[in-house]
Amino acid sequence: MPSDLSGEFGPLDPGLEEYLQILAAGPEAAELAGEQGALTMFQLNRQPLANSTQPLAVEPGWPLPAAAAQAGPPEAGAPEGGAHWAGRSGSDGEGRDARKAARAAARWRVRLAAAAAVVLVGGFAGAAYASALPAPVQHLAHVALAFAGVPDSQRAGGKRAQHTPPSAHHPPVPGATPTGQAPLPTQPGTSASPGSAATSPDVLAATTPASLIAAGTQAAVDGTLRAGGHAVAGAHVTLFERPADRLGWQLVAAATTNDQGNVALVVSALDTNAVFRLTGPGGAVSLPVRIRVTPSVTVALDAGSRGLADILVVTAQYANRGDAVVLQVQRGGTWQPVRIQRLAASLKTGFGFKTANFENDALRVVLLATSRHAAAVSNAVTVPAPG
Amino acid sequence: MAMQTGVLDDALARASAGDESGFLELWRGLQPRLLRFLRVIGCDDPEDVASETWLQVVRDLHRFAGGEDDFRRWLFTIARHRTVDAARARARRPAEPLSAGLDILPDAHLVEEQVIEGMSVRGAVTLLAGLSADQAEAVALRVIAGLETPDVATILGKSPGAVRVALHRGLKALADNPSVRALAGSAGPLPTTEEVD
Repeated sequence: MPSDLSGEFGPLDPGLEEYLQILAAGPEAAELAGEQGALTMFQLNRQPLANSTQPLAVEPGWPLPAAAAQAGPPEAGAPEGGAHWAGRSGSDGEGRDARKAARAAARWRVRLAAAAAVVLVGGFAGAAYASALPAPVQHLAHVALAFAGVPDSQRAGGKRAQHTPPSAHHPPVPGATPTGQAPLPTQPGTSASPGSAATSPDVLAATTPASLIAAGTQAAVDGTLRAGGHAVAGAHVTLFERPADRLGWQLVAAATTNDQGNVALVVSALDTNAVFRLTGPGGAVSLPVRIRVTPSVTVALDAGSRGLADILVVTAQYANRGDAVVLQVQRGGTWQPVRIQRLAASLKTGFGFKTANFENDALRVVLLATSRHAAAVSNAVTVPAPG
Repeated sequence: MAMQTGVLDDALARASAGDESGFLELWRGLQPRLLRFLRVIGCDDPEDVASETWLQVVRDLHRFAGGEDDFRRWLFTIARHRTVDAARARARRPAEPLSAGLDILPDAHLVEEQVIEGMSVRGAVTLLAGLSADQAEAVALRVIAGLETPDVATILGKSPGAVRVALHRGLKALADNPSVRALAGSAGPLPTTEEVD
């Protein structure tokens, strides 16, 4: 890259050249930590190739795709195709050509029949939707096409006065809703229940009953899976966690949705802030849910000899070495900061002070929030008067 | 260190067809650069935004057509959009203030590590993020993402000339930085903390 830039901006300083090399250096281990999570995400969400998901829809009056056009009906009296396969005998080739032509003709007849069926069904459905069929037939149409909003004969008759015929410019189509709205497109990976009015992607929502919990306790994530507005029961839902300051997502729990489409998943002993996501069938992925943890911080007074100096010993759990704790004193009803220190590797530290300066004062410490945990406040202790 | 374009073409084709090894090769090749780019442009949660970016990529990969260069352009464009989305979402849900009105202390280890270990990748990214936003993003897209200047201009919605100016100024600011100057010659002295600051 530096050479590219030097071509654009002239020779680069050696230091800059070196710097740009570092900037675009190869991967560091931490940058690839999320590989397993990425692979899982790929497995859950990959889609089939576009050309295999686009159904070939042949509708009357539409131009045939090129491939179909090439295999169109053979013209009467036209010479047989002269395409011979290399290495084949002439008779074999002619026989194959004849079979190909016959198959092409058969395919063409099937397509025409399908097109005619589409026209008939479409016309029938259109008439049914417009309540233009005789009452018994209209009732049958309602039974068969109720999902598409085809009215019943009696209901149609009863509401005929209010019914607004569809616009001539927008004729009703099978699958259209009574309001004339087009049906939602069916997308790959949807799992709407059969018979639903419309198919839409699965929607997976994740929530947590408590976004701030005590460190080391259980975290809960609830999920709801819906498709087309309906709860999806019996679906496999997985919970992924990305702890703070780590790159990778890891699978931590899984469950099956109940009749209401709900799942309740728990993670035992969460000791650091984390982001959670639920994944479900059809590539459904929830928005991230963040849960923060509050470490435990306690203070105890260690009286110094002869009352000269006391030490407030701070002990933290689920914090980290180097985390900052602020000593506070209560004066005039408010807590005022006095001093700040960092936790040692033992997750302890101590504030030394002269007893006389804080006689009868209440002291406490606040552990400041980091990316790994939320802030925490200790218990308060009162400095006794000397003697 | 320069990104050799085209080496991921085969992986891209396999990933598009649903092949896991192809996707992993693609991910390994571009995820580090994606994270660095996101850090440079000030993304609050680069890992999360990177995940969002790859998720969108995977969902739309079957519709993608093009080579590795096109893919990188697409990937970093999505990443940029997701960063904006994340920033908006964060603005809608502001973080709760800390008790007792205390601020979170800045991470004091970064500069120290940078000085002790010479210039780490993270230190280099931090240094780049210190430039003005337009310069930092232009350099990041050009150097980290490995995009050509016209592609950078397209992503940023600027003219190639404006991007060249931002690049030029950004590179000059970097070249003048004491930490970068100290990199000239491996035997050169490491910068002091004050110089890094």
